Amino acid sequence: MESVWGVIVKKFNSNKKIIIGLIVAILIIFSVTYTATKRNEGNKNSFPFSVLNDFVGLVDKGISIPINFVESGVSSVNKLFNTYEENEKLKAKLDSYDALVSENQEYKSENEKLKQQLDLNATLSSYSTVTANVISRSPDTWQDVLVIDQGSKNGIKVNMPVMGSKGLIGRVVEVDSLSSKVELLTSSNQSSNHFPVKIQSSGEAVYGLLEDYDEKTNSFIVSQLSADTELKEGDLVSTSGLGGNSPANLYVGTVLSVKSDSYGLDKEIYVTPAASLYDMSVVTVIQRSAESGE
Amino acid sequence: MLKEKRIPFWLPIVLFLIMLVDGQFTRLFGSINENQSFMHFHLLLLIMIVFLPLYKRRDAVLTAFFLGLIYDFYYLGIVGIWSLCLPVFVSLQYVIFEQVETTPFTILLSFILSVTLIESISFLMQVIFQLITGKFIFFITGVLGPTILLNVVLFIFFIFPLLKIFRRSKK
Repeated sequence: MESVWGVIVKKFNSNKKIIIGLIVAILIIFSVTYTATKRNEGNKNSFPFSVLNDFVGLVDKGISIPINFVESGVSSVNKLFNTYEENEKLKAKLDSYDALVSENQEYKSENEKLKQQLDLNATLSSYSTVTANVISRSPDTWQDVLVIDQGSKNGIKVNMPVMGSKGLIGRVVEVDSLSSKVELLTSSNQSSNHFPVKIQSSGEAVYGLLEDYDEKTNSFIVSQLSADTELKEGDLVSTSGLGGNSPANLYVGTVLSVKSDSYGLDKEIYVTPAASLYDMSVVTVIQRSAESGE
Repeated sequence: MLKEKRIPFWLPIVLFLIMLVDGQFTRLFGSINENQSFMHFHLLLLIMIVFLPLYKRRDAVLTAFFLGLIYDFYYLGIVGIWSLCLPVFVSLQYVIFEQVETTPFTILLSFILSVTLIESISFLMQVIFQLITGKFIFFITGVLGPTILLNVVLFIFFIFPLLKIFRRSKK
């Protein structure tokens, strides 16, 4: 005869897998939500995790050296093919360049003098930079994250904007002592901060938010525009410095096209990025000089 | 019989290094094809399929869990995605290779199955937790398709050297 206890043990064994499954599910839900919230809060990682990330980053840096070698080889061959065309374009640009340089010099000195008169130390457009090497890129397509080799020891903080070779590419999302993570503007992360941008169109500036990335056209989508001004293809887009995290006048790209959004109420502007979002070995982290008024 | 063997201490370290190599190669492929499609390099999975079923199941699952944890911390900063995927994947290998013999063909089938499974779970989890705005069509055409294609090529390159090592370590 089977005892009651035996039946209970048997029953428990058949249910054991379900119970373990449930516990695992609860643990996973907890840890994903907790770490995701923690990441969005933007504090520096706690000590053990920071050490772990720095250590892995160090090993990864060693591994990346031969791979970077191959990558630079491939890209230099690529560049060789484009050289002739690029040379023609650059020559055309160069004609007006000298005039621009002297003009720029004049503006700079004039700006400096005017600032002195106003007792201004830091305006929205002044910033300092930290240069960092890219160690790795997250192999997960959806969280488009770069790991770079500068961390809180070098003054990097969460939410600082990051520039590629020519323009804005992303922002810092997580900081460890010796390494940090940069989220690219191509990522489809829902909870990330959006960059406030302005579009220079024939003298007048239109403000908006850099909200999304479109894989089909390889362009950023700017929406929530401040004015209904007509915008042309080729208008310059840069950060506006509003919002407190990024300085003004970081180059983002040029306007590709203007479309109405799916409700037909608002306009969406497609912007061709200035910086290459795939070929990055060195990035610049931007530190805004003006304090945000919090 | 074979599964009583403990995992030697160097195997997790090798797997960890291969995980980082995978990441670097994924970056390389991304920059070569200019992010038109995303091919993920999964050498780690292939090696785990071939070697881990030689060892004790609990050891293997634990190794997979810790590797997944490091992956989550280092690459994503969000814990619980790969640290779930990898142990599930390893357990699945034990289920599969209890029933079928380890031949190149069965390894290929299991490999394709695992790649599909891992890519899908990690995508779906991030959509469910609203970490990303998931574009399902793009996931199929831009990520899953190219990834499987690349990994079949990877398999052809690596399977015979790996099996050679496998036979030697089985003795």
